[in-house]
Amino acid sequence: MTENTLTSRVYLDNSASTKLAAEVLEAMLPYFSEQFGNASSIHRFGQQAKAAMDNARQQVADLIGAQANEIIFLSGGTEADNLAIRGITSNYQGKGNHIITSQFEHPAVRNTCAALEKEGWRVTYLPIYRNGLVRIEDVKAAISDETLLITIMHANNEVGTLQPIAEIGELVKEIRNQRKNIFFHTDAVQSVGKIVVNVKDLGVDLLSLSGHKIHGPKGIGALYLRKGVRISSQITGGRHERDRRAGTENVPAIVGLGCAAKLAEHHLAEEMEKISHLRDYFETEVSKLVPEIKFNGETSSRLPNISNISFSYIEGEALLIALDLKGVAVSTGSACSSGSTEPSPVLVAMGLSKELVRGSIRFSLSRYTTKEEIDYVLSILPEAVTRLRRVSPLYRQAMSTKQ
Amino acid sequence: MPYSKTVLDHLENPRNVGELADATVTSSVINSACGDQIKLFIKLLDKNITSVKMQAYGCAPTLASASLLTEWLIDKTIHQASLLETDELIKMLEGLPRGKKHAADLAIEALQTALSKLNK
Repeated sequence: MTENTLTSRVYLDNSASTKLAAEVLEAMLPYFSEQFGNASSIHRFGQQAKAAMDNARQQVADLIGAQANEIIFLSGGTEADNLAIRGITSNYQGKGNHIITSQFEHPAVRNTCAALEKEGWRVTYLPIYRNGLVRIEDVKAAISDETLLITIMHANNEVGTLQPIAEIGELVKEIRNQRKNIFFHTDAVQSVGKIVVNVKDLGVDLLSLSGHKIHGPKGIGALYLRKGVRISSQITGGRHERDRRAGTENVPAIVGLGCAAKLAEHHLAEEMEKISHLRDYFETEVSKLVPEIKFNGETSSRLPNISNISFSYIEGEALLIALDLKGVAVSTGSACSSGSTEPSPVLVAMGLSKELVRGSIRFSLSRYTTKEEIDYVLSILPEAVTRLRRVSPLYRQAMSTKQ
Repeated sequence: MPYSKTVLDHLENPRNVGELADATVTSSVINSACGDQIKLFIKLLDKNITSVKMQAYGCAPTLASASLLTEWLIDKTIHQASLLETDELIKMLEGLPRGKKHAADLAIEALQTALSKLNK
């Protein structure tokens, strides 16, 4: 496939957001028009909305091996993380004052923990190693009698590495035999719908997930809360979501999330294989076509859809723009692109040099990614890299040293 | 797209890339905050700039600033070159997004550093 024959743009930024599935849109549409009832109302309008919501709750529960009454609908991954961390710490205040998290959490977790630190909580930030993983020994060593909450993400959003959540879950269960009040939360926003996520197998008490990462709508997510675990609501108001999240439910979005969860569950095995196959093909070809690159993250334990590559001697932001001009959407860990002065904390925590962090690009695939699209990217990527390297003083210096 | 057509054009087609073995003055400047880097090679005949080359590492605006600067400098006098300011360069780039002014600053710094060597 040549550049000219590609009629649409290639979207390889599915870790940022995904395309809404056509089936999801269709499922949602009636709830924007004739099915407008408030799920709290007793009349038929309300009861129809409630039935749709109950159905969606079951669909989301099925995707993660939970029960419907363990699912709380809310506005998205960020709110789920906030409710998990703040909900546990405020409900069990006095039962411990220590939180364990990692150095590479999503800002929704990192900044919430940092805020609690200011409020007097002790927070341990576990290191992440070069392979992009935390170590279970470090978790063990960090746990004290005061530890109330452990919150560690399931799949990292930049490199896709899968943390040893099930092992940590086992550890927490063992400790819980001795003392009740220790809880385990995982932000599974990146992993749900990409790999099999089962709350029982993972041994988590709370789990965050988001609609728009699984071809559902934005503005909707869910928190799994294991039966018997209590949280304090962080939004006061009516008695929605069994008193855990006030506010009239966003029925169309909830229906959309349910439908997206159902689709993910149905196609998971098939898609995992197809997507990981495409990703591996992409990586094999890129390593043949482009010299001086580095693949980031432990390849034996990562999501099937993410490829994070550092291109030496060039800036990720410049490459991102160059690719965008060719119709290919990706993202970068370079600070220059996000408007912050701080480079990707994930890649820094993984011990990458400043230059490799700046030259990092994340390619994230979805069920809609085709081989033709990947071939198109492979046809334009080498030239874009070469052009930027030709301008780069770092590249010229490295080449002259080599000669 | 956060960038103007001119910025994108210079990113896709960087001008005057490379080095000048017979440069009259050169400079190499680094933005200590973000690590962006520009190298400039300027060749003079009397008081006139006859050729310019550049190398740049950094985000798109840094590359574009360096590229456009080289294009503008050719056939200018030393005096004209010394008067160029960041805002003027940004204007020629058809603007830069908020927070990206430092890219043009770095290009001007590279120019000033090179010119300052002439006075010595």
